[in-house]
Amino acid sequence: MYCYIYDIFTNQKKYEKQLSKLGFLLADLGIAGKVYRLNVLKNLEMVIEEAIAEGAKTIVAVGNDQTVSKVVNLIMEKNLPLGIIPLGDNCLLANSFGIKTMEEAVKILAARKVEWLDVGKIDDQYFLLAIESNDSNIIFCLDDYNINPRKNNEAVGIYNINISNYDFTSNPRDGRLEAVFAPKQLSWWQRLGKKENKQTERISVFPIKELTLNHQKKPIAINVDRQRTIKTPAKVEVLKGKLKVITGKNI
Amino acid sequence: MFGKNQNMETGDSGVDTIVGPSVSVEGNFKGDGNIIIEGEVRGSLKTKGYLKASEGSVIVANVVAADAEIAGQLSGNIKVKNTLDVKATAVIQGDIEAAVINVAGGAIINGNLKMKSETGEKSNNQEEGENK
Repeated sequence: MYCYIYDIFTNQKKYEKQLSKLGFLLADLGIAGKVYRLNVLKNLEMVIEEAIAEGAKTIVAVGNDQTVSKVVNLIMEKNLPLGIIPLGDNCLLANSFGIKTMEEAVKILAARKVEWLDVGKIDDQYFLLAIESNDSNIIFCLDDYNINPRKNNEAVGIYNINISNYDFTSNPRDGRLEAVFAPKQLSWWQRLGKKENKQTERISVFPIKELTLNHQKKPIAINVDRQRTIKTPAKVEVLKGKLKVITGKNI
Repeated sequence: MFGKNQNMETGDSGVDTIVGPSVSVEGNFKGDGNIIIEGEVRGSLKTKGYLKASEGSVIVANVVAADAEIAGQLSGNIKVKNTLDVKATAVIQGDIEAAVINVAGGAIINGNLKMKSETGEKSNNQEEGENK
């Protein structure tokens, strides 16, 4: 049975038409299931427990990145496949799985291409995409070595799926995360002094399985999946093939 | 910042690790794949793959690699299973061991050279000095 979890913000009047269209599309493709609407009295945890008790075989998050991220954190231990129907703003997660629109999402659900994907874990929270920070004083501590940003570094990130515009390859099936350090862009006068007139310097990329994030001076908040934060120090690891996701493309 | 559209030119196929100019690695760094160094590495550096240390790189470490190309500064001993290419801009302070060594004019090497082949071992324990 498909269980559709509509996030609380979808109760707004502006989504009425889209949700009614969604109902038709799901029925049309024969994948209509039970709909659970979140509200102030019914939180996500309660809804997922209820859905599982009623025999849910697939959990579909209807909403934005925040919806998907919250659902992932609750179904990780349940061994249920996750479907995504993007609605509202900030649907980067859905887009990175090849799901651009609601209509497309319904077709992808019906096709049911399930993939086992790696999931990142930071302390006791899970992430699907990335951890990012624009603070240049974060140190990555691994078992045998440390990676320290130098003064010319601008941002750091740990990626399961490359959602940045930096040119590196990430594969959410390889059991590794990519730790990335991005230097500041050179100004025009700095470029004059260089032999090659390149606008940017090369990023650093380290394939990693486990590390601890520390800050050189104080605990700071780092961004998880671009929609919540967690404070340093934090332990990061990858869980290989831990989540079943219904996707629309080879990620 | 992340999210900006930048052309970072890092799409080197077959490269697993890139130590760019904005980071410094300290400790015993070990990799299975190919490594490019443009920044700083201190401690020890080992890889079963190819190591490329570009001009501007600073390595203060003992290095072990299958193949290597050195164009930056290396303070420490280097052991290469197959071929070591020492570029004109390289400054190596330490002993070198490799099956094949190519040294470009202008490179500076201060240390012992030791070469191994399948038929035996050729040893050249003389200090090289500047190779200009």
